[in-house]
Amino acid sequence: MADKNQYRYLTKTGLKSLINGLMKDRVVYGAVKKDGFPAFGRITRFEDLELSQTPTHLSAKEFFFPQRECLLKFDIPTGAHEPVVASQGQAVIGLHPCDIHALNLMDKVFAHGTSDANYLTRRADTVIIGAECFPDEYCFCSSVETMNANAGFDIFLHEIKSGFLTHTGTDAGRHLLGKLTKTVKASASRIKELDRLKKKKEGAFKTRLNAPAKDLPGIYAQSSDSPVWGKIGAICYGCGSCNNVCPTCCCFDVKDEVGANLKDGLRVRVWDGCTLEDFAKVAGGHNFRKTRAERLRHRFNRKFRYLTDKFNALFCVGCGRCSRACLVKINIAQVTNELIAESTITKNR
Amino acid sequence: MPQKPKVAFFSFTCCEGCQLAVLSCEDELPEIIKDVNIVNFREAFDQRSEDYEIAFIEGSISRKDEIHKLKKIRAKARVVVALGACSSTGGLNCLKNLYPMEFVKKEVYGKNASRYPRFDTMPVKPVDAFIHVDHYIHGCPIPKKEFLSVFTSLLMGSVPVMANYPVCVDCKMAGNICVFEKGMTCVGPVTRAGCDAICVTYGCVCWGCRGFVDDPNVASHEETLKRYGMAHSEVIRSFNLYGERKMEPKAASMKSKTKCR
Amino acid sequence: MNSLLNQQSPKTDNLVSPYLPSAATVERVTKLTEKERLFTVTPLAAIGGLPVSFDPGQFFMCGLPGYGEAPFSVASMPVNSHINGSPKQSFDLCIRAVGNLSNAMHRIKKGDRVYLRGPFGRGFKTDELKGKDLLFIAGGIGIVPMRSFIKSVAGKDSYGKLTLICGAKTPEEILFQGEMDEWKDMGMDVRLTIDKRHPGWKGNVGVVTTLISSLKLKPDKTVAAIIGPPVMYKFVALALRKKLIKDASMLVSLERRMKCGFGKCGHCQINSSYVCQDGPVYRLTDLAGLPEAF
Repeated sequence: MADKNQYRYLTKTGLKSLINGLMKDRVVYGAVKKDGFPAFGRITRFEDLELSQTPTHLSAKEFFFPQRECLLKFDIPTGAHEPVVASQGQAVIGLHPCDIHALNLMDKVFAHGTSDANYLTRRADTVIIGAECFPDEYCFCSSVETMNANAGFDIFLHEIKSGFLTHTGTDAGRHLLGKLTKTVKASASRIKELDRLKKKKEGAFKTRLNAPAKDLPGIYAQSSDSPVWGKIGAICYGCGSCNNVCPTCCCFDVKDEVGANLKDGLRVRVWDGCTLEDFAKVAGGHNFRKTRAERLRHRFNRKFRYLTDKFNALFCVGCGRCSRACLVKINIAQVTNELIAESTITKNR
Repeated sequence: MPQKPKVAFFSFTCCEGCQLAVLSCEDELPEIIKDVNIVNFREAFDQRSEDYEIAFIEGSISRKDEIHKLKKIRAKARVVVALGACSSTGGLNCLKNLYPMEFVKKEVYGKNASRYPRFDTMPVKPVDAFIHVDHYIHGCPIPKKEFLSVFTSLLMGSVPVMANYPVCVDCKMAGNICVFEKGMTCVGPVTRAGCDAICVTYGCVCWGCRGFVDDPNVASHEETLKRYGMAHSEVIRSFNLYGERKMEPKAASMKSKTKCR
Repeated sequence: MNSLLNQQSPKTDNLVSPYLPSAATVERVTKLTEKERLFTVTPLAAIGGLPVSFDPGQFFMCGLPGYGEAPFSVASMPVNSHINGSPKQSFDLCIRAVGNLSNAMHRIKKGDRVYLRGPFGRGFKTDELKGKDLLFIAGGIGIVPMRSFIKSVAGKDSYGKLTLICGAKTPEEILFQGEMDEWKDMGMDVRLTIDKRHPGWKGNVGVVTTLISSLKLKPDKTVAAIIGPPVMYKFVALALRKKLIKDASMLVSLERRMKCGFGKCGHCQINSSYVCQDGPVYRLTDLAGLPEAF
């Protein structure tokens, strides 16, 4: 049952005031339609915002960890290096609970040990407004405990018939709601409507994992020699689409770009993907993960096992984006269910 | 400061669009001219020289006399760079190879074409069918950015790095909705990236002008294209629009990539 | 498992870019072979603490503007010196020309600058090895990081018997042969081998494992350090196990692609381990759960 005290009611016009208010001193990104499909994009008018029930094409990671960003400027003749930590006041609107969980995971990675100033500064400069969603056939967040987000956002919007029920995750969020728009206490009937919607969502998942989330690292630990890897490795393109659409994939390459004057240049980081052929290749030419099967096994394990010890969390948030984007229909939930079926962990239960 | 390297541009069978792409680097050309001496560049000026270290070669080879000219360039140049699809994979010109040469000649030059040696022709090939090519700049036309990056790399004494991943990477980074989702098909998943997926970004599909990535999963993409309703012949055609790409035997390609160590 | 309750946005006060390198002057360039050069570098300012401090086996990200950065293991320990009257510390990096950066490094001269970040990773903990017999097994350029380890223990009374087995493809490719004579003088047992017969070579022919069988080792007292090409580790470990050396007494150093040095870029990951943080030096027992190690 929803705790009725945490919700405040916001009308659709009220949301408009909020977004317009944010646009005054921030760059605002949000859920839009691109070629008819849900995606994130720049919002310059309130009407651009089209909150989507199903996941956007790419995740929101690009607003914190852009596809390409400059880390340093250098001058070759003098050898001067100047760090670049670029950030702007921004807001991202329409992240679903899975996206917010993913962001929390990225926070952990970039803050662990040596802090990544570039990511963390952008993160701190961003207002996050989450929005409730409804699963499509690829979503399986209910199986990885990411169906609801309790933290990692400033404001969260639950759409109901007459408007939105909001709840806030930070003081900044409460402050923004108070300053930029008007909310009223949520009535009991509206809270009831929200509970109905939540129940409906819970029952709507067509994709589910056949094991509890806490068993998944162990199941993956048993799966190294599974025939599943060969099977999906055979059809995989090694195209990195799964990496690029994933909200928690944050591996990167770093390279130097030199200007035509051969004097000044930039050290940039760009997205990289562990499913790409050269990801684990060293300068001498040795490739530590030569086959697509090995690379896929690495990626799947990174989502369900490798990072769980260090960060105490699964790195798959069940958004289904990789399955949706895969042209050869490698489906992360199906693969996991095959591994679950092969595993002794579930059988012994 | 050592002497400025001499750079030459040469054209074979092509539309010379890649030279045009080089000329479109208006912001950078003044800097480039400070770094090098350009001694041959038909689209830009008329002087010519036979003395050069770096040769950029655009166009494919479609006549016997071109082979001779090409070999001469290789003998003189220290570094040969294939500039654009025609040069690096054969390009659109290779469509000619689908027909008998006599038929092609008559179609283009009339029924008496065979009487004149100047209309002599042969199946089109990329330049590396005849000479060793040191570096490739792919694309129809070449991306400006890639030309500049290869150019600066060579002047810095580096080996230019060529993207070795499929166009899907560039396409996702550009934020494009996949053309397959939009009900179309493309060959991006087996085609070498480096183009920022410009065709898809502007509403078209990837035609594969940059040739295969190093290790393309052709067999798998053949299956995908069929699943999206293409006949086998159409699949082959879509793979071969920009040059004859060697199709791996299906079984071999599937097998070799499946083993987990 | 994903419930991250009470998660706050991470703090960003006073964050500095971890990607900014520090300049170091190249004091000396020594050509070792056609492919390998040794660079003696002196950081201009503090890196990794002042005085420059690191364990043998650790690595630096070394870069040149325009050519990028790559990880290089230290090839020596820091040495104190005086340059223009002020105390400085220098150390060696040995670089094989295989890529754009390393080829550019080979073009630099004495007095030029390189740019360093580090030290990163875990090296050899020499304090914990006191009293042990140390067996160094190096293949190819594995001798480079090994040299930092050897230099930090050779000639010291606190260690037991020191033995080096070093292999390469050809006699010319055995690096630091001159120094090996000095190590011999300090009491180290040095045994060399090359892969195939070579005119003028009178020593052993065969892979490094061929030299292990003839060694007399005290299993309880011996710690082996193994650094070489990926294919070498498995066979050396097998040969050492036959000599009753325990996996816990075998230390290996692994090579991987790296872009950051601090566990972000993902390139060096071996199963659940990041080589840049947990390695490059591992105890063999730590690799038991990492089947992708070699």
